[in-house]
Amino acid sequence: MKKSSLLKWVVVCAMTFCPFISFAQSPGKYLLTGRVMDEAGEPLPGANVYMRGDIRNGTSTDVNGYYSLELPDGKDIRIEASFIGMKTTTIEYIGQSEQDFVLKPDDNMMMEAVVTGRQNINDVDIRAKAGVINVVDVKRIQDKPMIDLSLSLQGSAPGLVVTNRGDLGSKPEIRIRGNSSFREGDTANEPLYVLDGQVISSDAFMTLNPLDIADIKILKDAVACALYGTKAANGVIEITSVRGTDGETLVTYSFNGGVTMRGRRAVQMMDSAEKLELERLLKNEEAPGYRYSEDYYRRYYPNDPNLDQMIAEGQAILDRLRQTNTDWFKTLLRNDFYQRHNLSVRGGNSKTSYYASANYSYQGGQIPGNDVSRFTGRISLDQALGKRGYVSLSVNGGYSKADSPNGSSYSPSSLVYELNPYESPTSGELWSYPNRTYDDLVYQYDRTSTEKRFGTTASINLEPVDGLQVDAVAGIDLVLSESLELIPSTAYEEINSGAAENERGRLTKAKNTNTNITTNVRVTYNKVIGKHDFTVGANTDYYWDDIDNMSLTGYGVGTQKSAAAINQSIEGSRKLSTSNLHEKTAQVGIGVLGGYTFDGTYDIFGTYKADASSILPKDKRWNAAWAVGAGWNVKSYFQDWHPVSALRFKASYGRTANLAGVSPSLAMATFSYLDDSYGDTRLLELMSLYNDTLKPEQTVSTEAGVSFGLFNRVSFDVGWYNRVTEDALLDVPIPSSNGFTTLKRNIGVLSNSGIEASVSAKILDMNDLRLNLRFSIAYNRNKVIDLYDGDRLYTSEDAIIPDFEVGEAYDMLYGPVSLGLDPMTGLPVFRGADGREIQADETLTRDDMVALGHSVPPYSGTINLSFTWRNLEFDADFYYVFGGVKQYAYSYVRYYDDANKNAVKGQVSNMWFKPGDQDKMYHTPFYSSSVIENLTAWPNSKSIGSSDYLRLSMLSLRYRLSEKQLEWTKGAIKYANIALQASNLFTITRYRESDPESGSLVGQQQPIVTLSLSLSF
Amino acid sequence: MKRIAIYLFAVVLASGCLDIKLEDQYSDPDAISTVQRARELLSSAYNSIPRIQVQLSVLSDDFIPTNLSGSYAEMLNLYNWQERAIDDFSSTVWMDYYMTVATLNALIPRLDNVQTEGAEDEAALACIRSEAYALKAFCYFDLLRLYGPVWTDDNMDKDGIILKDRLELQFLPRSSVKDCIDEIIRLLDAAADLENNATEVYYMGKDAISAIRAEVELWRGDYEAAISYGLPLLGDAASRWTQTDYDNMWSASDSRERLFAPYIFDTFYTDLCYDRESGDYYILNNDIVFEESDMREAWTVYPYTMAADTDNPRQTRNLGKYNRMYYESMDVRYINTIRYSGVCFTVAEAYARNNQESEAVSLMNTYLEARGVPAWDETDPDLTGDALIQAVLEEKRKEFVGEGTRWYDLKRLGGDLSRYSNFGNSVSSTIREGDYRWLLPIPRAEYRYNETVTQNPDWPVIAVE
Repeated sequence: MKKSSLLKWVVVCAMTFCPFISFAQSPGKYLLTGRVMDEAGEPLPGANVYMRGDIRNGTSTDVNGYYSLELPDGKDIRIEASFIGMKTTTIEYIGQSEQDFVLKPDDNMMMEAVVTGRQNINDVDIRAKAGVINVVDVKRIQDKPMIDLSLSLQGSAPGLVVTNRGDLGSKPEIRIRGNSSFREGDTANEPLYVLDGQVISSDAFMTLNPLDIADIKILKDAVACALYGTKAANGVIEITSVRGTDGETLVTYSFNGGVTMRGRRAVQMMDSAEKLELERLLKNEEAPGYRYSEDYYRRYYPNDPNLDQMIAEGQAILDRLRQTNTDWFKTLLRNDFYQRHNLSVRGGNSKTSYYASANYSYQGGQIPGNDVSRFTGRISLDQALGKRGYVSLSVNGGYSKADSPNGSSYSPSSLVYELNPYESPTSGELWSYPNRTYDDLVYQYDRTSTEKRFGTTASINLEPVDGLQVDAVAGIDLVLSESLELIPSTAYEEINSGAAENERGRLTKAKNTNTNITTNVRVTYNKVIGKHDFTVGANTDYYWDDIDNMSLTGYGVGTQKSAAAINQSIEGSRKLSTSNLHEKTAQVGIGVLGGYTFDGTYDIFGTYKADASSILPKDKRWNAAWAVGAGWNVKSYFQDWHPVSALRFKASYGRTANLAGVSPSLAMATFSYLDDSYGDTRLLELMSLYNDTLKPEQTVSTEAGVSFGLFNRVSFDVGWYNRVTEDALLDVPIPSSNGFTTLKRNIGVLSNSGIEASVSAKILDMNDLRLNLRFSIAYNRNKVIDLYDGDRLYTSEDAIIPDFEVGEAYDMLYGPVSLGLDPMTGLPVFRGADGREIQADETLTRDDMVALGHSVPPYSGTINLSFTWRNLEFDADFYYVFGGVKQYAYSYVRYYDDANKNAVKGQVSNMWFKPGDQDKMYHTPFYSSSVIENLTAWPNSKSIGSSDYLRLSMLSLRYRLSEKQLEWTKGAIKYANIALQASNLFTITRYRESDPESGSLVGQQQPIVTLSLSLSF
Repeated sequence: MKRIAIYLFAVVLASGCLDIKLEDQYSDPDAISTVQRARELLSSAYNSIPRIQVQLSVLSDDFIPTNLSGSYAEMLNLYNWQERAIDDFSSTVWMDYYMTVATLNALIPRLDNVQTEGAEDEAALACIRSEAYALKAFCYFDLLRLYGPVWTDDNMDKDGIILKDRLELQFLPRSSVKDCIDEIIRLLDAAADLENNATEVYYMGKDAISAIRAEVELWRGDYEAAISYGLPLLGDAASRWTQTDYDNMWSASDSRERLFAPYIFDTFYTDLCYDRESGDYYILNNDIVFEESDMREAWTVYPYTMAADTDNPRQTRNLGKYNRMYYESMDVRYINTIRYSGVCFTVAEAYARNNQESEAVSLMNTYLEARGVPAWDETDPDLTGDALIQAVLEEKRKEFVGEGTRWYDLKRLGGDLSRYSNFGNSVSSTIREGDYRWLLPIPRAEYRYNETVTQNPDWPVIAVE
């Protein structure tokens, strides 16, 4: 018992910390190397290889199943290879230098192996054979020094698209295979997050500690998702946490510390000399470059006797301004630091095992006042129930806090591109912001948001009879998000609000509680009769979601960031106001599944689930999700032919109703109170115009894929999918005489189809030296198939280009073709539908517009590289997207009205100023309002740029200290490694402006470089 | 298997528990089941009555621009009756009135399901129903005057407004002016037939309903009816027109001059003021002049010194009323929408047009006396015929300047409207009688999605594919 537990301890340690461990050969010892694989030839990472009878002398395989073991000179040595759930294999050592092991599954192992129960009880084995499931390489996620787990998932699986949306701490956009609905936004398109069988909110997911995660699976197709029913129409992200082990207690401390950097300069701005020259050309006297120029004096004081003196004085002022050259990028943005401390304890025995961890992380943003810090803790306990089952308990909690000085109406980050180089923080009243000093621009707004998360999950896994599994999970996940927003009384906005002094200072405090309760009971029976392998199962689940938002806004707090400081005597528009929204929804479901495998070659799988949701009225309550899938393992026909090491086909078809983003008020008349009153009466308001014919969206997906392996060195995975959403919902504009401008209606059919492919190759595969490369690409295309009312749909009454048109992609950017600037007028000339030239002051029609490109890049993918040499490991991840375009905002190009703000470098030479200026980029600063429409209302072929980019998203160089190097610690330190890790080091893009990902001048993902140290005791 | 059966049973049981009651939301069928909830829903209809007093005054001849007007381009464009600005204004007006109508359409059918206990509840419910009908008529009447042509025999079959009876998506055409008026009268009759014991001034009581009716009758030229509905309200009018009641209108206090005054918690009438230090975008028209003894002047004219340019301070006559309340940081709680003096002008005009000139003058004299203005001489030959009507309307203009009623009168009476340059130095343009812009355009948000609706003459229509 003791021995086996120790042994397993070694396995586990090795699995966790040193999959790449290798030993240097020393005299008198022999080296045995080889590989551990399963029957299908798939490598078994983390398998244990050791000298029988001497568990101290053992190692484990790396991610590719390789091991190398040092053996003493001796006789009668037996080597064993073992892996959880597999039969242990023993061979005799007779001096060979290479030895491969092929392990067979051990059907009786369940009762003996130190596996804890399956946490995600919907993760039934048969599902994987026909469904499309990507397993995220969690180790790579853990290597990324980034505080936000969801952002670090970027590029971790083909078809999982994560897009950064703004400054640090804001929630990124996560989509599995694009939007499945016409409706934009997270509620309708977000995947379902499941942690150990418990549904959690996306906010909770964002704050998980990556080091507590054992594996993340991305469920993409209907077969994989259908087990979750109608909740899973947008895909599922299934997370399994790290559990305890059967073995000696291992304490691990790891530390990451480093620097967060300012990142890439979105655009290079002008220096003082160029800026003043631009101001002179723009002729706006609000800007000093014109106000003190000779031009100005000659124009306004042509006959003044002191003209020469005035000009000279003006020159002197301008010269003085030229002396100052503030780099606002460096002044306003900062380098900050990143740190992460993690302490975990893991251990147990064959009956009971446990895992506990505590984590603290901090990441500083680019702007002072923007940072995120987080504490998390987790405890889990697994207990065997006799010989036939397990019970697991886990509790996790977290506290995270994000600060931001960027408000909705005001963002100091954007000042980088507005303040003039001749201004400085101490230069008094600013030209760029008249009547304000630098201090009136910063410290204007302050927002702290905190998230307190608590979750607990209990599960039972029983196998009362051989082949029959009864699994049950129940849990609660609770996220309390609070935010505190202050506009201090000292802020410019408040001082100039006209409010009395005791009414200044606005404070908003909001508390949003999101509670998810999950229960799921699943019964699965598996029977093998000869070559026939049957699985049948059924489950019933219940989900409860409770959202309780409340907020209050009050005035008169001064500079105090406390709700208690609100002046409650204020009446009128600044009186204390509160609001509350409490929504509860529940869903009950019942599902069945059946699967059959013949001879390990043919798999078929089907699942049906019916869900009843409280969101819809009684008569429409039940909706179904079903899927069928088949798999064909061609490899089983030529088991012994080695060049092709794997060949497997899969196909599936399924249909799921989607209720995401639908609330009860959309289907029946629902009234709620406003936070206002009328006289002494509360205001009860109709929440929206309801649609009593509203139906849930139906998502139909078809899927086919093939996996192919060559010589056990190269493997290919290619998948094709087509996801059609029928009865797609959208807020459609309606005649305003109905009292509402939009109504949620089932408007049409859209499709999302694509191809996902990945190749991984072992380029070098030697004992000390390994190089693996993985390349993946995903292509997604969307199209409107049908609209129930006509061929086109305009969501705005002013639109001349339809937002949705049958046969067209719905993320297409439309605009006219620009023929460049007319050298005589300085205004763009467009090419009309009939080929004629259209001047800027003419009205463009629909026919003049062409498709300029996709606003969402259709291609995305990753390149992963792993290189190992002895104890040194090098990993790099690149992430790329291409095929999309983005409109340039040109917000840094200045015209007459905003001449007092800084401009992009080179504008003086790139702008049209006078007739005859040829080949200029920016149109004339002097134009009449008749051309405004064509200048600003839509993009044109010259005002867009390709948003392709390639980013080095992760870089890690790790050195594992060998046992020898740790000898001096006398066993106190069992494992140690140090690493240099970096995230988002650079981005290569042709996009000239800002960040091609978020599209904003500020708020790009910042580069972080850290040094990390991990010690296990 | 037994276990499975138990679970199945549990699921069936649990699905029955999906009727989740939300504590802060009420869904049909019993969303509006009590008198209190009905009142609360009605209140949100009251609360959503569009507040367009500033814009309508700017469109009328109440104001002239100042040197600051240029800084608020949108409003200046509206002052100059620019097509685009009127179009923008029209789209919010249309939308907001129909929002109120939609709320009333949500309320009225649900009143049948309200549970009542006892006579008191019954009375309260009847009152709510009466108010709902009246408020709907009030909205329709405003819409008709904004979007429809004035009432003449020729215009009766022309397009009026959309009459909307149900809370559901409909694509309705505009009804004729006559049908609109018939519907308004029908609603007002229905409202008047019900017991209406509303006492608060921010609810539409019996008297407010009569006042609306009088105005509707005047609008459609039935002067006797206008007098018969209006006159009974003026029995104790003289006692209402006191200094205190006048002053209190521009405060959060009670004033007996009010007939209907929606309650407001928000800021109101802040669009006229640039800022408290610099002055207003618009000031009183120079031709609005008060007699020295006129008690209206104190609350109508707010003397101010505006800096036309730094070296040249200018004494100006800014609007008082809500604008002064804004300057003096006083809370506005009531929007004086229907007033007893308004009824007085309606009846006086009806008398004058109905050849009862002496009644008209005597009624006006009661009013003028109360306001501290010398009484009219009944024998004055200048106070007969059209001149008398003009005189009545001139006094009406002084009483209501800035309150958004003038535009309706200008449209009804016809005549040209001058637009001035800054401080009224010169006439910059003239809006002729019969100009197409007197009928607001049907907004794009309506006609683009409703093929059955027609645009008013001469307004552009963006092609709909």
